[in-house]
Amino acid sequence: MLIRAAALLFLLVFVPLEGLAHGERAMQATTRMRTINWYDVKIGPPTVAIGEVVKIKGRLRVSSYWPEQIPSVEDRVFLNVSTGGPNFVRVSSNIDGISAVQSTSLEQGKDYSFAIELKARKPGRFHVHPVLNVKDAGTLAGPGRWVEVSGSFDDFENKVETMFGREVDLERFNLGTIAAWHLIWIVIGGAWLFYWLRQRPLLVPRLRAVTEAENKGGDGDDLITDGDVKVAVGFITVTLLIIVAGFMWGERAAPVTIPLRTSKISIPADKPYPVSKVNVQVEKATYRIPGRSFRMELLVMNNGPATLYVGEFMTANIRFINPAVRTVTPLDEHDLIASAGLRVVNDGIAPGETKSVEVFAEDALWETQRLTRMINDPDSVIAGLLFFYGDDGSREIVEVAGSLIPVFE
Amino acid sequence: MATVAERSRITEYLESNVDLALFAVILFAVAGATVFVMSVTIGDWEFWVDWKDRRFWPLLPVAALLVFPAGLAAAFWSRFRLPIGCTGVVLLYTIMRWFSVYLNFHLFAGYPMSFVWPSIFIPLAILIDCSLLITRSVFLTGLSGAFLWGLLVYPVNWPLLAAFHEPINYNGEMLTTADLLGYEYIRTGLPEYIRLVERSVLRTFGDAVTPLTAVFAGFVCTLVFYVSWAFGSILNRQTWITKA
Repeated sequence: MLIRAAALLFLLVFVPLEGLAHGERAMQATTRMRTINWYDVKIGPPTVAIGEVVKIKGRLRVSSYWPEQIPSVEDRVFLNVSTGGPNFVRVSSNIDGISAVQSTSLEQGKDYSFAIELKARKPGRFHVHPVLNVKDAGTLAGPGRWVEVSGSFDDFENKVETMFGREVDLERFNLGTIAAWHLIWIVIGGAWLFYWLRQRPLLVPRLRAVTEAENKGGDGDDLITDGDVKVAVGFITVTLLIIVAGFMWGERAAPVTIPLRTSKISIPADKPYPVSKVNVQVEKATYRIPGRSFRMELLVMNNGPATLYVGEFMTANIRFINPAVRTVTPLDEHDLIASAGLRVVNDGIAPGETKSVEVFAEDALWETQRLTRMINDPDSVIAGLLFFYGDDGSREIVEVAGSLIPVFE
Repeated sequence: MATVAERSRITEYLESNVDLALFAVILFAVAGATVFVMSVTIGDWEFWVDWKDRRFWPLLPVAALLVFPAGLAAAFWSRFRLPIGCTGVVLLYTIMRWFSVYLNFHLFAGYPMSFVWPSIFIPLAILIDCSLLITRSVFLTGLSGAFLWGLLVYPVNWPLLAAFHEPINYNGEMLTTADLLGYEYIRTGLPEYIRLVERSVLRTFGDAVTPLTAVFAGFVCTLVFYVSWAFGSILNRQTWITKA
């Protein structure tokens, strides 16, 4: 039994395991559909060695239909990443080219580019996602990709230079000083305890003496000897001297220090809302539960110069692709792409034309990604991005939303 | 087979040392409870280096940590006149903390120890215990030892922490080394904004944040000491233990 427990502990602690899912499927379906729309996300390369860089870049559009009961991105958000722990170190991150070292705020309905650079730190196979932490709401994960890291952790180093030219390795920074000071105080604290505990027996005779003294109307202070007081004065003196000396040593070791940084990064507020040459109105949205078939009746108005075709519907990081328009295949086993999941009736909207289009998004991903649980959510408003492709190679992106009516038969 | 004399010697040895085992059990129990309570209340300030700020870290963890040591000090002082309650609990707490961060945050979660080292509190505990012994007064110990407990936490930890507050120019932005550790070593569920650390506010008295916090922490800790001592004294009454 003990050997098994030790083996399990060894496995858990020392053997690198795959970093698995991050709980996004546990979130309510309708909130996943109406918060952050991640698209054009590229993560790679899929195999790197220790110390090499993995890039994540793409775009995110904050839903215009953000549930009002969920704290919004307009307070405070942080562009983060999920890598199953610190298996990578983050080298840089930005939103619209502005460094995202600290948190910022975004606006509903707006579209942002983002990029993150990671340096591989530990060997293993990790599922890497961009995520957005939203203050008081939680963590919203974007699409993920498996990244395989080869090599040895021993080869990893992470050196930076302070503004005074001191090179520091963040993996081991100041550890000697930290350990030494802890050891000094553990020894001094241990010495104080030892001074008292060396008297044997200790508790019972002292308890008896204190009780007897109190019964006689006095107190047990007679147990304290002059020697005890002298020792205590010595300990206080030494302790205070070491504290003062330590403080002065710290001041001399780092004469210029600054407090922790907490400023908020500003993204220009005059950033325009995304515009599209196509106008889409959701007439009706139904979900047929037995067939896992999502159907939208759309009224589409094409104000652009090219004939448009519905090529993709993306919601909650699932991409339903219309194979008649484009070919997209999953990059790995957890890439949420339904390559032939989108069927469009009455497709092809000519320039200046307004017409009704029926869109069917059908795939088992509705079930496996727990989006079918939307019928258990307190509200049934769904949203997602609709991608139109023009015959001239152009692309139009529109966020669509509407109330969903489930079909149970 | 032990002789009667040998058995007698063993019995005598056990009788004179059994209180050491009792002492260890009590100390481990209280220190373990302290680790648990600190972990579920103000644990983040206590070990993440990018939470060790000038306003909250020198105030909240020190005030919270004082509760159990002061309570146990009341028991050890009033029953045995032993001024070791604070030092004993804090010493064991520190050792347990090292085990906890080393196993949980370094070996298991994979963060560098530079990022998750525990704070130092042992000298502050020594100051309380020694004050208690010298003054033999709970009131004066609260005014002196407990005040110093809150006042000195920053200077006690400064030799460890100072280097983490050196500025770094990182991608055109000024950060401390502590901030950079927090940025580079990924914590998906613990974003930058979630830290409850000092922010620039209008009520800041110039740049004298640390001394003001230290003095305020001293007052708070004096109060916490008296309240915890009172609870320790009440829980320590023999009336809670009934004879069979």
